Amino acid sequence: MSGETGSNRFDLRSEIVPILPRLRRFCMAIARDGDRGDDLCQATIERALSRADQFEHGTRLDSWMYRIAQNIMIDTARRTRTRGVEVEIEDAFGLIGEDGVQIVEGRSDLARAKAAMAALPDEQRTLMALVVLDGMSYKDASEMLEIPIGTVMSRLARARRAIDAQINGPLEVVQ
Amino acid sequence: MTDRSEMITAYLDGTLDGPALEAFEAEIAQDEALAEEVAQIAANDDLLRSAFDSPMQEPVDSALLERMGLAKPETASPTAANDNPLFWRRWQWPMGGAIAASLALFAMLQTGQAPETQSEFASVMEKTPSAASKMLASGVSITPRLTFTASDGRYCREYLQTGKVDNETGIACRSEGKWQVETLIKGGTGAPNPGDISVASGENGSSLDAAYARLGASDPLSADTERALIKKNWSGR
Repeated sequence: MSGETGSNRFDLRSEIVPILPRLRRFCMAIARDGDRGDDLCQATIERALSRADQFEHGTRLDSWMYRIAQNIMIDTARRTRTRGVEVEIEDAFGLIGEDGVQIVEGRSDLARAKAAMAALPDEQRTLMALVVLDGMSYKDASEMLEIPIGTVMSRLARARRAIDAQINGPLEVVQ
Repeated sequence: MTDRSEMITAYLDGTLDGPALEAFEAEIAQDEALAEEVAQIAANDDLLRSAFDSPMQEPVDSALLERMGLAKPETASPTAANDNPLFWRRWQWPMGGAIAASLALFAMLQTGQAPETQSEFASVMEKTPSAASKMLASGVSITPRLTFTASDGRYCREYLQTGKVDNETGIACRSEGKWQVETLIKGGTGAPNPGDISVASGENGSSLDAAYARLGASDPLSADTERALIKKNWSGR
């Protein structure tokens, strides 16, 4: 009975509300500039609402929204690259000096963690956001990103090594 | 071939099991450097989770929904002449400081439950009258608080979950014989005295508000109606 009318009644806006905190966290984590996280989140919601008919009922709304956020990130990066105005993350965060030596004194651990995340390649940062922050399984992450589970694991391993180097030194430029 | 950092990653993400897990744990026990590396990477993960935790702590209130473009486009539905607000706005259980002060709001759907916990949980929802508590095998105690109907005709129950690190308050709805958790948020105190309700103030409880609004909740059903539903296995309509 409710099954037949369910899709008609489906209100995407209301469905997004319970996952909003996690969506905001995901956006904050994958936007290279964390302050832009909410802008990305808002753009994601706007795009999702305009394409509500494309959401397949019974599939994970969070994964669908995360994928939209990721696509917006990729589009934006492509646009800014062609315009050539992308700001290097090290400059944006002011955490790494000209000689590549980390300037960590006086910075909080949390700021360093954010900067380490921001310095990751996009595909590694997305996986860290999905698995480490959001607790997604390798299987779900591999399906969402359409990559093999082995790749999920190797990217996460590389990301964790890079983050460790950023947070705990040695003072070397990663990657 | 899996290298050491991939093993650490798989271990921390809980994807090792059986012999592989035992072997790796034995290796950690014998290799101090490895143990330190694992601990350091785990600490980095914790640091990352803390660094990106602020969205999880902020209340999902009307201002945030507005900012995120999630406010309802249409104005409020027409109200009756007597203009009675819905019950969850009119009243609010006295939640003490837990929800109100910290608003440690985790609108987190319950997805990671073991199947046996789910069926136990469903059984509590199915058979326990409001204000009575039932302990699950996991040590978690569930106290249904009230029953209402959603606009789609489902029966739903608000409940308190205690016995884990934080108390949690949730709403589960019954559909085709199953109880589906609609929302689960951190916070909530022990079962309130049924006569002891207080006027809602400010944004307190806004978290459940969102779920109540989404479900189009009716006023709570009376204890008699609830008892009859439990007796008839919720086939009241």
